[in-house]
Amino acid sequence: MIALVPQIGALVKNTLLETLRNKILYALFSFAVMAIGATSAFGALSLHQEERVFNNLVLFANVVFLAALAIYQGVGAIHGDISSRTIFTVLSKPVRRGTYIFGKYLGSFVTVALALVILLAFKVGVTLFLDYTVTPQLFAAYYGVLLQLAIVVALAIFFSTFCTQLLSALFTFSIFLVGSLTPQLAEASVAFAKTGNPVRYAIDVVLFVVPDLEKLNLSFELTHRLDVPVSYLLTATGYSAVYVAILLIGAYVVFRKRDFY
Amino acid sequence: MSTEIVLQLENVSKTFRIGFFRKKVEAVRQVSFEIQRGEIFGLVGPNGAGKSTSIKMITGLLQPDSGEVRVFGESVANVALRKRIGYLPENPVLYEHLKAPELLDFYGGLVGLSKKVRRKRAQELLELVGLGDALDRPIGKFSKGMKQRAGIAQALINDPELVILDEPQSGLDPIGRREIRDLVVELRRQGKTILFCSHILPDVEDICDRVALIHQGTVVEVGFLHELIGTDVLRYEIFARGWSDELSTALGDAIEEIVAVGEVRRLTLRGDVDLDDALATITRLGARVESLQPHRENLEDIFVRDTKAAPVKKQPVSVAQ
Repeated sequence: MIALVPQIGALVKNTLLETLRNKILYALFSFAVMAIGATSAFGALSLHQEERVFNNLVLFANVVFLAALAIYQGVGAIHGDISSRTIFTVLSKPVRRGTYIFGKYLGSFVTVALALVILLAFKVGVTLFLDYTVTPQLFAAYYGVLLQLAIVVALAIFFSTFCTQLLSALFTFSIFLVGSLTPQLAEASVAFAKTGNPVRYAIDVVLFVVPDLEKLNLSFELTHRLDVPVSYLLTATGYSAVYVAILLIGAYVVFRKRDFY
Repeated sequence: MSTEIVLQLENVSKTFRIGFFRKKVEAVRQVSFEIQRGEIFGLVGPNGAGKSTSIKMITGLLQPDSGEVRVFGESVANVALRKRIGYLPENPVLYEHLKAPELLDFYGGLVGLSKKVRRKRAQELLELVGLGDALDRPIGKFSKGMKQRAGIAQALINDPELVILDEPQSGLDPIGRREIRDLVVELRRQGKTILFCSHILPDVEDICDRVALIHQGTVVEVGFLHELIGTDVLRYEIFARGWSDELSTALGDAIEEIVAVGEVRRLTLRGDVDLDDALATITRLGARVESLQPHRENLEDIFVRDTKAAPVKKQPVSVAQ
């Protein structure tokens, strides 16, 4: 019997340490923190909508930064091991390939989640400093972002099991983009359907396959202080978990027979 | 040494597809050999012969196209078996952001050791491989030799029964090479079985019990070193003082080469001469033998002979012991 918990723990800890000791991350992180500061200035330029603009822009800036980090982290997690050949010393240990994929996923997700928590804390600090209100919607919105990131990291891991680093990043970013534009795509599908254009079928397939990240985007609720029911968050969690599971199983199926030479 | 078979490769083949047109390249063809418990088994061959490919099939990094790899009597596909195997890859690349104790803690976690055991084992191993005074430096700051030592430490973290070392002396200075060689002997003394893959043939000859020579993906020789090498003397090397032309004439065809080294002559005599007669002649004609060294066939001779001359065998090579 192989001890799964120490194995996954080792993989998670190593992934986390690798990121925390990467100087590039700190440069990016400083940029993200500065962006929050700059956004507060943008809010001040608006007319009596300071808090709303501030909330919207900060969330947008954070999503952009965190999505970039999630793609970088997810793609690099497995590719880094393969290109540096550290994977030789890992997979020659009694580590199942599924455990490796899951450990790498969890490590990357924890890293991204940690970045989100730090950004959220900074956002809360700035909000209080500016005498704005910290609402429950703020936490719901960031929870939605966390679920989006869980899917983005899983996408990056999935593609990195069979694509090059560049293609993995490109595919993940494309799906992130398309997944964030699902309402617009749905409208386009309806419009095409009215004119009998067969493109609608392609759009429908894309809408079926691509994760609906827009459903996890709660920026509207945050801006307009609309209640987010707990049941909605639970459903969103379930949806994300299923999507992540499908992607990780897919990654495992590709990875389990892969040769390393 | 017991007769228990620890590792067995049976007609193992592996083909890679490379390039845009997915051209087939046979890396390993019908390779068979077995290793018994407690022995040091040498795997030698020129670059690209298929040694590392064979090793990667043993460690589960590659899956054979055909044939079977069995470790401790079970198929190598059983991942749990790797708990009993330690592996040092060729030119190992380790996580450069980790310090040596963290590195061993990581690998200890992968083999399922508890935190307490990991810590104790890491301390022991770092002392064993001579990294006891480099605990606070990340691996990225290590010299090549230190990285090699850290690689060996990670291979031993699980106290494995079978240790697979792929070019463990690569990039090491003579002292480092000697230390690795001594370490391998020490591991065998502890009862471990070792697969030792190296280009340093004198070391292979010195410490290995049996050797397999791989060339162009095929095993061309396998057996005990004394069987492969034989006992016949190929030539004698003699240093003699007081040499004269008369002596050269008297020994005639027996001399392969004669070189003047100051007042001394270094002469090479054929291995099939009557040595007693030759020495008597030298003494009788007024010269004095200062040293005599018989040269037997060594592993390097076999290596050069087999890798230069061996045709690519299309049939499976029988290596039954």
